[in-house]
This record gives sequence, C-alpha cells and structure tokens, in this order.
Amino acid sequence: MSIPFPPALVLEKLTVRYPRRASDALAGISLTVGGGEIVALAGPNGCGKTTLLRAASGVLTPRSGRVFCPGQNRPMHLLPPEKRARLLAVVPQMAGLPSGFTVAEAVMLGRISFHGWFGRETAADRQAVRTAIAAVGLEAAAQLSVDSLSGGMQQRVLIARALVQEASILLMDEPTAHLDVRFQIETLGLLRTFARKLGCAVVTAMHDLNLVARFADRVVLLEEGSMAYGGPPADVLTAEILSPLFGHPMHVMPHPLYGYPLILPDGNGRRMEPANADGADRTSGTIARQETSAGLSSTDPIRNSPVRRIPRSGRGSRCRD
Amino acid sequence: MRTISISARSPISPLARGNFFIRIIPFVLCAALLAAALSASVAVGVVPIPLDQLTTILLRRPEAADLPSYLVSIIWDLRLPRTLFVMLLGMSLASSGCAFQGVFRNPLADPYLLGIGSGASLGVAIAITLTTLSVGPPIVPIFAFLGALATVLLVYGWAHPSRDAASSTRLILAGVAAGAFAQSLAAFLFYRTAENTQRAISWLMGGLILGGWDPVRITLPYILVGVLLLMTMGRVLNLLQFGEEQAEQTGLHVARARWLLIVIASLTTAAGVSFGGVIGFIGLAVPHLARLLWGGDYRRLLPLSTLLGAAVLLLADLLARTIVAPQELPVGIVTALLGAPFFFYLLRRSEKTP
Repeated sequence: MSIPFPPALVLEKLTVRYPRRASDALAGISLTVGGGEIVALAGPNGCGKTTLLRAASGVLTPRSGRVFCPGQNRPMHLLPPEKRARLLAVVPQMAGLPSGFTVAEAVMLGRISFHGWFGRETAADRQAVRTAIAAVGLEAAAQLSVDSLSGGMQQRVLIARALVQEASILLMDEPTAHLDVRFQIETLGLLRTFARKLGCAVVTAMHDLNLVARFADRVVLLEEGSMAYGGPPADVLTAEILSPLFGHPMHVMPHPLYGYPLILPDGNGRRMEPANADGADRTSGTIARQETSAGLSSTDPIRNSPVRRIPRSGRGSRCRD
Repeated sequence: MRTISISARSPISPLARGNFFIRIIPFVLCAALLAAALSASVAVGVVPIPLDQLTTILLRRPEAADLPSYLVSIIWDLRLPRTLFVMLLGMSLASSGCAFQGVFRNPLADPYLLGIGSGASLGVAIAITLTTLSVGPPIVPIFAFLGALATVLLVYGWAHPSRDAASSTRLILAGVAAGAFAQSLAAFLFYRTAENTQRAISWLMGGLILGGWDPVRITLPYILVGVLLLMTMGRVLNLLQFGEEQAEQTGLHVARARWLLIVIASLTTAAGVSFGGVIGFIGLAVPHLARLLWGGDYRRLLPLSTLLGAAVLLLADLLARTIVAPQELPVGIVTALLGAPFFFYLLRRSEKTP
C-alpha cells in the first residue's frame, strides 16, 4: 500500500519480549507512519497496543527488528532521551498526576530537552507552554494545581505537555479514555489539525472503534502482538474482520450522516422490545411509591420526571467542569 | 470554551502561587525560624550567660578579655561549633531525605529507613576500629560515604524499584534489613574494641561525640556542596514524579539522573553521619512537613526542607542539651521521641486530605 505522506516513523519487523516471558509481546510488526497521517492502533485488551507505543518511543529494547526515524543514523532505543524527546512526544495512558504542580508548571516539564537540567526557562519555552495550553483549551486553568482538575482536564494537561516538545511524531495511548463525548471529538479534531497543518505523524491506541472510524487515516488491528489487519478504516472495520477479532458479533453499517463505518456491537442476541407505555408507567409508579415510603423526597425532580432536563439549581454542587 | 471550576480540595496552599513576594513567604518564614534556632542554640545552655556578655563575646572579642575566660571558651569552643555543626547536620539529613523521597517516589524513603545512615556508620566503625585512625581526620567522611554508597547499591540493586508498585515496599524492607545489619555490625565492631565503647554506643544513638571546630571544618565542604547540588536538581526531581517512563519520554536521562541524585544524597548523608551519629526522623518528617505546608514542587521543597531541617534539628539539640542538664541526651533520642508521634500525626493528616 502506498502512503501519500512522507515517512516519519518506521517500524521494521519489530519484535519485543518482556523479561521472563515465554512469548513475544510484539511479533514482527512492520509499519511506516507518514507525516500528516493519523494511524490508530486497535484490538482487544492485551493485544500489544501499549507495548507497540512504548517500543516506538524507544523505552523498550527490541528483541529483533528496529524502530527509526528517517534521517537518524541510530535506531530509536539507542538515541539519547533528550534527542528522542525532540523527535517524538508521548501522551501516556492517564493514571493520576503527581500533586504539587500548576498546569503551566506540569506542561513546562515537557521542555526539559530544550533548556536542560539546570538551564533557565527562556521566553520561547514560556511561549510554547502558553500555545500548548491554549491548544487544549486550558488557559483559564493554567495557574491551577493539576490535582484539583478532573480526569479529562488532566488528560489534556498531558496532551499539552506532549505538544510543547514540538516533536513531529505524537504517540498517544488512549487519549480519549477520560474525556466526555464533546472533548473526545474536540481532542481528536485537534489531533487531525496537528497532523494536517503541522505535518505531525500521529499514532494513537484507541478502544472506541467508532472514533477510529471517524478520525483515523489508517487502522492497524493487533491480535496477540502481531498485526492482523491494516488499512483505511472503511476496508478494515468490517463485521467479518471485527467479530472474530474481538470474539463478539459486530454489526457494521455506513454512518447515516457521514458514511464512514458505524460499528455496533451485538447486544448478546437481546433485541429491544417494542415500548409498552402501560407497563413502563406501572413500573415507574412502583419505584416511586417504594422510594417515597423509604423516606425519599417525592419532589425530587430526578424521580418525578426521569427525562426532563433538571434545572441547574437541582444539580449536585460537586459537579466539576 | 467551557468554563472551568475547580473543587475546593487542593493540597497547595495559596502561598505557593501568586507573585514573587507571596512566593518567598515560606522561605522568609523558614529562614527566620532558622535564625531564631541558631540564636537560641548559642544563647541557651547549662551555664547561663547574660545576653549582654554574650553579644560582647560574639561581636566584640577584644572587649571580652575582661570577662571570665571560661565564658569565652564556652561560646567559641563549645556552643558555636556545635551549633554550626548541628545546623549542617540538619541540612544534610533533610535535603538528602527530600531527594531520596523524590528519587524513589516513595514518601517513606529516608536516609535511615533506606539503611544509608547505618551503612555510613558501619563505614565509620570500620574506619575507627579496623584501622589506626581515630574519629576526626578528614578521612572518616570518605569511609562513611563508601559505607553509605555500598548500602544504597545493595538495597537498590536488590529491590530494583522500577515500574512496579510492589518494589517500593521491597525497597523499604531491604533498606530496613540492610540498616539493621549494618548497625549491628557497627555495634559489634565497637564492642570488640573495648575502649571507647560508651562513646561509640552514644554515637550510634545519635550523640555528638566530638566537640570543637573539627567536625564543622571537615564536613562543611561535603555538606555544602551536596546540599547546593541537590537544590539545583529540583526540576529533574519534578520530572521523576511522573514516573520513570514518562520522564524518559519527556527527554530526561532517567538512569543518569537517578544515580547522580543517589550519589549526591548519599554523600551528603554520610558527611553528616560521620560525626553526627545516627539521627532518625529528620530526613523523613521534615520534607513531609514542608510538602504539606507548601506543596510538592521540588524546586521549592528542597531549599525549604534544608532550612527547616536545620532549624528543627537545632531545636531538638537544644532540648537534648537542656532537658536533663547537666547531663546530655543523644539528640537522636529526642528526634525519635518527638519525630515519631509527629510523623503519625502527619500520616493521619495526609490520609484525610489526599
């Protein structure tokens, strides 16, 4: 398959095995990612998505094969970390950020390859931090401490930290895992902007096949450490391929509005029964009575009208962003 | 863009934010506390010396000739060197404790919990008993450093805390075991050479055995260089807080950074231990206190811990000298007696406000 993008990151027959394991975590992966392209890694849990990203970032030493950037004379894992950080930036799977930093300070840490261990932060560093924070929409939170933020905002802090590295390759592990629907779309739209406008090569592991279908230029489906399928979403995301891969029946149809594949996992054979207005009323009436007798307020808007929009004053005060 | 609201729960005090003048408040507070502790440590002692005589002795030495010479001697040969040495010791313990907590990403890391202090005292015991040296020559800190480094290599090499949470516990367990072993071996070496046993045991319990200016003169370069070097590593420690893999992917040479920090912190600890003996809880509790008060940014935390550590150890030493006067307690006993309950309090507090 020819790529319309100039190659930015090349994986060549990459095989990785973790210490004290009997089998390879990645077996013979060959993949060329072009600048300006979004490649999505998908597959069942444990198929090697995260390992592939780690190996591509150079923190794992391959058993055989190699990862390299065209123009670099050494494979990725042999480059010094500060050099690697300038070539590619990683957005790790979110798992809680350490406390004690503001958003701006946490993002500034991504600039260490620019100003070194002891160097002073330059105006260029601060400008890059401001730009990255603006790109992920956290301007208003720049001086807040990261541990006061919601998971989705912390995720965006990590994305901003990757952006300040000004690398031309972005590796992302589930960048949308902690985001609500709107920010999932916004973040992936942002990624597409980086890819198209700045010519970044983006490799991202994603579980949500519908987001893959919508945003990826190419999909790589992994299965037990090897590449099962690769190609444009429309070719790869089919019921014939996905159902056996995930071990679950899938229905795939063209999206009614946009035309890209819409993946609908089978509901274990249970189909929705036609709505029975009578029965539904009776059930909810029973619940309401039980709750009233249990001492719950019968004026609670949630219980009285499950589908009505709840007025703002009735919402919990702990609701964040 | 959507509006952003934050929860009220934030462990960072408002002091840590804001403009320059607000940011330096913690430094001013710590420096003031240190200055007060230094003054108290020189002014208070078994022999009461009136304040006017004290200032004369300290600031106008020629005029002090009229005063009894033993007073001059108490200040210049006993209290002042001891005060300065205790200050250096507190600095070394707190800053290296802070660095160890950052490197191992473990709030329990502490020069003594990791066995490094005991390793250093074993080095000193070897230097004193198996060679013809006596405590004092500049060579002793070298032995202490070798002992500390050997322990940290052993503990770290065995527990190898990388990328899995369980190794953090293993690290502490290995440190406690190695520390107990080294300390017992040091005690054994001291017992074997019968003379000076009393003083040696007192030293092992954190008594300052040596008076005069020697400890200050010998350890000053080691501790000053170590503490200053550690203070420059704040950014590196910050990055390490995100985990080794993220730090490396962000561009930090993690292995190099970690070894550099471990070696500097061990050297700093060892220099203090070589004359100060085994003093626990300063390296553990002081960085914790600073972190609770002023947040976890190591660029602030390291200098604040250093200042606070010196002040706290000076006050503990003051207690040790006066509480059973004219007798003198090993300061390690005071720090443990006060530090352990305080540490329990800190743990409780940090559980309530994560």
